[in-house]
Amino acid sequence: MDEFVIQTDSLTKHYKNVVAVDDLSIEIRRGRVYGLLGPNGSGKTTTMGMLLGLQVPTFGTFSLFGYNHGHKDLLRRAGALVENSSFYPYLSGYQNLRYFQMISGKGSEEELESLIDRVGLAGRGDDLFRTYSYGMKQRLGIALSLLGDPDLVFLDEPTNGLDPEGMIEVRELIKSLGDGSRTVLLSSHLLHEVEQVCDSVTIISKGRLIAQGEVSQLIATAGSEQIRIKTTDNSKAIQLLSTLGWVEDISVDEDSFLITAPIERSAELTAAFANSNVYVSEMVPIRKSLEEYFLEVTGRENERLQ
Amino acid sequence: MISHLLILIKGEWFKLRRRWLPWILLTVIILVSQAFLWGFYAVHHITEGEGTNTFLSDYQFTGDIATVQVSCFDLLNGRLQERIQPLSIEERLIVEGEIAEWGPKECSDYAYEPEKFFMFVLPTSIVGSVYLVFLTGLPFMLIMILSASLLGSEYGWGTLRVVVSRGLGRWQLISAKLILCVLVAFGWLAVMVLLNIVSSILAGIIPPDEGVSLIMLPEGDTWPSVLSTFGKFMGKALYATVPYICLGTFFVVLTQSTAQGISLSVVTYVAEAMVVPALLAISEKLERINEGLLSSNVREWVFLGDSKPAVALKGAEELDMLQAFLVILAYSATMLAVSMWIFQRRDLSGVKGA
Repeated sequence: MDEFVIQTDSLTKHYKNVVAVDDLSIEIRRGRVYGLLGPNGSGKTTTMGMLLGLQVPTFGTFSLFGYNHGHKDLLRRAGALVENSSFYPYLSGYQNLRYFQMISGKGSEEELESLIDRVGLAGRGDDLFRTYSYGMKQRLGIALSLLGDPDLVFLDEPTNGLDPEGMIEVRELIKSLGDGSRTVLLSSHLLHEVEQVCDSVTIISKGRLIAQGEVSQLIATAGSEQIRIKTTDNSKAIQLLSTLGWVEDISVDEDSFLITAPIERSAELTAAFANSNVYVSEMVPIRKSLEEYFLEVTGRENERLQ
Repeated sequence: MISHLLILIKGEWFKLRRRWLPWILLTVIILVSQAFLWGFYAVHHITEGEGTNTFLSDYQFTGDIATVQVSCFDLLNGRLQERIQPLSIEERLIVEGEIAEWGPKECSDYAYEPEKFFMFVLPTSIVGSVYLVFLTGLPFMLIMILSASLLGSEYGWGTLRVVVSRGLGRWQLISAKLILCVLVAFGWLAVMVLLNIVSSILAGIIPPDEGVSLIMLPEGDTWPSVLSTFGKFMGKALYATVPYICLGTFFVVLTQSTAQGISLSVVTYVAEAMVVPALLAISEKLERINEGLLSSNVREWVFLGDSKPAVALKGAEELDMLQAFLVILAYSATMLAVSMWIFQRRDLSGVKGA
């Protein structure tokens, strides 16, 4: 089995004088939900477009499922929702899916019914696409991306236009898609969405790779985390903490105090307190969010470019 | 690869048959075809079979005022003396002299004119009005509109991105659309022929007409020769639509827009078929350029070098068919190759707005 479903090597796309994607090298492993995160105009859709054969790279190469040739055949193992959900307005939702099923040569009519149900369009499948709301169009786009049970699913801003309830449903759906051997590449500018749904993430800004890895690791490597502590004797505890070299930034906050320290050393902390007859009544790790991490790394990149 | 292409064609038909456009175009072409057939029927009945081609109009002599009209029908049916009876002996001699000099030449094509009823009597009627519809150039315009719309609307709706992202080859996609257009053109021909047969049967039944029966072979023709001529015409007509299908596709690929694609195709068609030949006719030196124009060659290819349907369908002398065939092929191949080349290399962006 191919370890990497997608690999890009120095992928670059120029539009006249604009560099949309710049020397992008990423690797995406099989069987996970992978986030492509970046602000608007960062090159996410262009990257997906190149992988899907919609745009021709200016430089660089990429491979799908371990192969860098026979791209069209490899794409038949994939499903995609790119940018806005585009369908034939004079066909019903069902007929649109039927057409794509027909030309893909895979799947059954029963599959179409179940897909329509799965994305929450039950009872509206026979309505013309042009009568759909934006959210319904988006749902149909997601259904299309799942047609034929693909090994790789590209989703470009899939929750665009959905109501809050719809967003939650779709996020749950995306999470479930990543179970097993299927890989999902989710492009989004919504940081909390990526954090909630993705196992791994690639952050790009101005077409360049900023960071990539597992979401939890990225946050962890962004710096020490904060821990809120409440003890039986806070002043004695603070005195003790100042002797520990790996504890930084102690700040007192009413009946508790906040320290910056690696969360993995929590056990050492409690042991040190216990040895000094100080007992912990509350210890809450305050993790840095992906949003904070994102702002930090993109900020650094912007400073570097300036 | 062939089976994949067939699946794509099937898919294109799945979409196309659910659109209004092909049915509207079909209705237009049927109406025009039927208008020709029933038009001939009406003319035949109104003129009582004499035809309408008067080659000699108003012979008016001063002095003894007498006006006569002599038609080819009169000439060919020995009614000349009867027609010029009101004239004086001297005047009759003048008219007879003139007619003897150039009348037979003028009326050579008109030999078929009294047989206009063949245009609504089987078997000539099977393709008679189809021939005239093609003579107007309407099918070429309509097929250009269809081919431009078939691809252009995909740009407009943004569906081209969805289709291509599913791993369908771009050239296969264009090929499927082009082949479907040819099949649609064939469908148009088939429907026109079928309706002509139905209309001819109706025309033969109502009202009964002396001297005209339901089925009449033109003099000197045999069933095999008539059917072979029809088959040849149908094949040629179909082949002649190909460059126009490619033209519509070419402009849509170039502009990525249905409206612009159709506009440019129609303007090119009109300019190439009418304006340029007119300009070239000004100078004899430029006549050879005219020979290379698509419209000139299509005319030669389909219309057997003659604009009179009855003559053409009887098999007039064929002009340089090979040249016409090659020119049409060259136009089609060039436009197809350029369209494919551009389509294959160009990035596909989002919705263009239909």
